[in-house]
Amino acid sequence: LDDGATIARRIIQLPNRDEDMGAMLLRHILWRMHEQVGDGTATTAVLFQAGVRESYRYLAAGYNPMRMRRGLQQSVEVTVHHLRNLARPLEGEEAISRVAHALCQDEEMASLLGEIFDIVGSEGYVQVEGGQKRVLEREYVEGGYWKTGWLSARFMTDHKRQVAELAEPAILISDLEINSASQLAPILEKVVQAGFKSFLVIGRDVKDSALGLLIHNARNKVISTLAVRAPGFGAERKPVLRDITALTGGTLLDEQMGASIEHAKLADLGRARRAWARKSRFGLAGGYGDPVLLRRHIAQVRTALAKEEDNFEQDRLRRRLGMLLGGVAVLRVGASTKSEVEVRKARAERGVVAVRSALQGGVVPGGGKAYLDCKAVVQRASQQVSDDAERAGFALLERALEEPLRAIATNAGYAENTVIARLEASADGIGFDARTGQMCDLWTAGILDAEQTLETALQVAMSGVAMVLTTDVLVHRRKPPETEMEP
Amino acid sequence: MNTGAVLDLAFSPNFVHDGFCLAATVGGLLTSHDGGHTWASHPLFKGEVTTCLAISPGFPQDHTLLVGLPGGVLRSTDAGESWTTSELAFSTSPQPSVLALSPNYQRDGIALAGTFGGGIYRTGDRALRWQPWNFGLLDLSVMSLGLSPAFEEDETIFAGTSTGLFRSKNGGLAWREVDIGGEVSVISLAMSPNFALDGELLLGTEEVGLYHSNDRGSHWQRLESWQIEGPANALHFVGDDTLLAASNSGVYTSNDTGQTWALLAGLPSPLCLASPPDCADTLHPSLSGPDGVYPPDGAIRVFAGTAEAGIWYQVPGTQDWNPASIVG
Repeated sequence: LDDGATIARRIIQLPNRDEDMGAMLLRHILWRMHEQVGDGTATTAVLFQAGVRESYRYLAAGYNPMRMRRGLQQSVEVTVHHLRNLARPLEGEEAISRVAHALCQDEEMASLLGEIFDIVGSEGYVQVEGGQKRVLEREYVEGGYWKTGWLSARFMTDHKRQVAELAEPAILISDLEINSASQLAPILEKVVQAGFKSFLVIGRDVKDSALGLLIHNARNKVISTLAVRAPGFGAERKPVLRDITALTGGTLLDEQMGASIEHAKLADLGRARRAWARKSRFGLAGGYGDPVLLRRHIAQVRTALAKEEDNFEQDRLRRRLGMLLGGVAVLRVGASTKSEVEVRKARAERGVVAVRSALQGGVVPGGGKAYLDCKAVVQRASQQVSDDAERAGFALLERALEEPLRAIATNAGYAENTVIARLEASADGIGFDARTGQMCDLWTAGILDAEQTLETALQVAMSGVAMVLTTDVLVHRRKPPETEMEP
Repeated sequence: MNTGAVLDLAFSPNFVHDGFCLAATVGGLLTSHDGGHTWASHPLFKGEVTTCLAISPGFPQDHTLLVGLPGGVLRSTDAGESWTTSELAFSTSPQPSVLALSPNYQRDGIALAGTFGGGIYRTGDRALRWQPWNFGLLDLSVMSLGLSPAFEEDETIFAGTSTGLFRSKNGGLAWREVDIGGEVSVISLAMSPNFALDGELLLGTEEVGLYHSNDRGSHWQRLESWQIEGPANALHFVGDDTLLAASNSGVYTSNDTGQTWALLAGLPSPLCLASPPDCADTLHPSLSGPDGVYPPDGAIRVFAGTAEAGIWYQVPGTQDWNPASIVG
């Protein structure tokens, strides 16, 4: 185990009920951090612990907790503002690799993450999978592919590769159930007459005589055909089908809009350079959709992604965006044993999330230096505050901001106070490299942190501290009575 | 002889010795063996539309020519005596619009073909097999391609499409759109010969003039100095300092990377511009200037292919332009 969230997640229960409440609060805070960013949980824990410790000192001295909380919230805002000012954009394969290496400590993985993100950008979709080989591999899959396969193995065109492939297909895109040959026959006839060599049908379901009609025509070499179930379930299906229409230039035959398969026209059909399907996946490459309309559709998905707060939905939108932007990068993680694969895969997934965050918000000096740089700003801001208790809130954060650096120095076996003193007197960007015990230029050495990670870690940790600060009473749930067993 | 629009021109890397050059036209493929003074229609391509072409940088050794025409790319490895078809995978009717070879084609065998509707195809085996390389390319109508002169090191390629500009920094493996401020049809591209050092490149558009970048295509600025209406059909660097641009009203020249422009030749609708590679001291007889030296001081030797008036070249040592003679 090497990430804070998983370690915290393994804490089930502490024997002391009061301590257990504190532990569960921290566990919840760390998991929230993990959900939001996927990295920075150890930093969050360190900040939280320092914040709680300092707040107890001020409470013992008689400061009002509510006013202290107000000061703490103001000081967090000041710090976040300064962190954003410190951030520089992360650009280029080499720089991305260096940041990835600091996160995953795996040279091969860092190098591949650098290449992948340099290609797909911060919005690109990167899929991490367990690999069959012992090494890491990456593949760039052009176009989109979805988790739904052919509706009959009889569509297979290459038995050795177990794949059905169509070149230059006309594509019928619908969320309708197609179960009768009479539904499909008119449009199939038009497709053949128009000289298309292949025909792909996407429907909520394609079965019975409709499926038979497609297989029959393929068998008799009238036209190559393929039928797949519309990807996605429930409310997710329509957005995905709209993506396919944007990519291929077709029209969605939508039940709610009163469309029917019988009345489908050639102009409703999408087109692509290639379509393929296996048992559980199907994909399109080289869609002939109007690039102007495609860009507009991409802009809509981008807007939705920017507004979305739920992690799962964000991931889904990001995947859609990746497909629309031209492809998906697949990182296959291999290792000698199954458990090693799992560990490496988890590390890769964390790396993907963290690198994306670094690309979106930029990077700041790592190793706790960015937080330390914020100390002076917080100190200056506190001088404008007249209320003692509010100022205590500022002072609380000021002390907590040193703590990540102190933890790094102590863990590496160095005297924390000496390191802090030397760094406070050093120039911008100069920090402590715990691996060598030397001061160095962190930008040049590539010891960098994602700004968004540090910002969120601070906000999440201090929101936890504020909660502890203003909690007066702990209420335990009564232990449920043990029920007697029936004889 | 009327060959229709001249769409592309290419010169042998050994031009000063062999005087060999090619022109892709709507009416067929033209060849010249006398430094571009007279052109003859290649018998195998008579009446066939040829849209683009390329001559291998190692032509004196490998004799390789590539010609794009509706349906695919043809390759010759015997200087045009015989031709074989190259298959563009997964495309029933590719329409190549532009061909570009790696500067190290002899070693790496890499070439790219931009197509209308099918995106970009790449070959890594000297044009035997072509595969689509369109990861990230949102617009599959490719109208111009530019490979970095230092392609071996930086693997940078630019692709102008009907709605924007795309850049690849890994030899075409993946493309990212470059923001040039709106959906613009990019019909021509020119990269500075010193691109690796100065990062200079220009693009020409269908309707909104020229754009310039001096940071390897990351940021672009519209060139206000270009006030010529209509499409910027072609852009071409001659040497390190001189830039040529073709619009429907003629050929223009700039010696300050597009900050100021002057009319060089009032040719009718030039569509493509090209200049032969640097000369050596032993010259093909037809290439020497009036004083027997090529190129004469201050002269720019430039060829222009036009929409309806054939091929023109600048007379060495003068500012005059002559039409090349095209024989049947």
